[in-house]
Amino acid sequence: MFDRRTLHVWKFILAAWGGAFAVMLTARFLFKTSAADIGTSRVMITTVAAMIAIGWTFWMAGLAFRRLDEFQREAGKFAWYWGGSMGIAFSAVGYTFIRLGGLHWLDPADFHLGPDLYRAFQIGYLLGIGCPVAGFLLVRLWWQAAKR
Amino acid sequence: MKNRLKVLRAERDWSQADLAERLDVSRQSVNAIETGKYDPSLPLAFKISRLFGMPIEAIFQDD
Repeated sequence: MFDRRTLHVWKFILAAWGGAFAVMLTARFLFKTSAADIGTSRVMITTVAAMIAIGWTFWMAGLAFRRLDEFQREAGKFAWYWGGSMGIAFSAVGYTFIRLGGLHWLDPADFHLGPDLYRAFQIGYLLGIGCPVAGFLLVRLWWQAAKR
Repeated sequence: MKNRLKVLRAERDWSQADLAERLDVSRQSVNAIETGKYDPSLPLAFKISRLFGMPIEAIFQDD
């Protein structure tokens, strides 16, 4: 079903996610940082762990990208350009909805997001991340189907 | 852009996967090029040209 090239790419994607989660979890459990601790050590450890996790993710992303052929690279660039820009544009719609108080209809408190994530969702911050990613995925799927 | 890739491949009795392996690209890329849904880069076009021993313009024609 999947060729060797695709399997290699997925291997790097899984390694990227797994490694990043491992680094963040290690920082949390090894150094016993918790949400209640707002001291310098928690801030520094978590920030450094986030830097390492992002660095690891991009290293893996680079290795995955090198495995892609030009057709797949073009698909990725096309999807980020159009899906990402459309996602940013459409996030304005979501932001308007949130700012006008539309969240009361959805009641995100029921989503059990946790206080930080809830606040980020409440002020519309997550829209700027979620919408471009959703746009990328949609356009990438379209490319996959259209160029079949 | 039109091309004769499918005909040239069939003449050699190669599958899309065979051609993809020779060109070091995915089978999906070969399919997209053959059906005219994707135009290859110049380096890949030269690679195809070398593989079939023909000039690029004998394989690819502008619409």
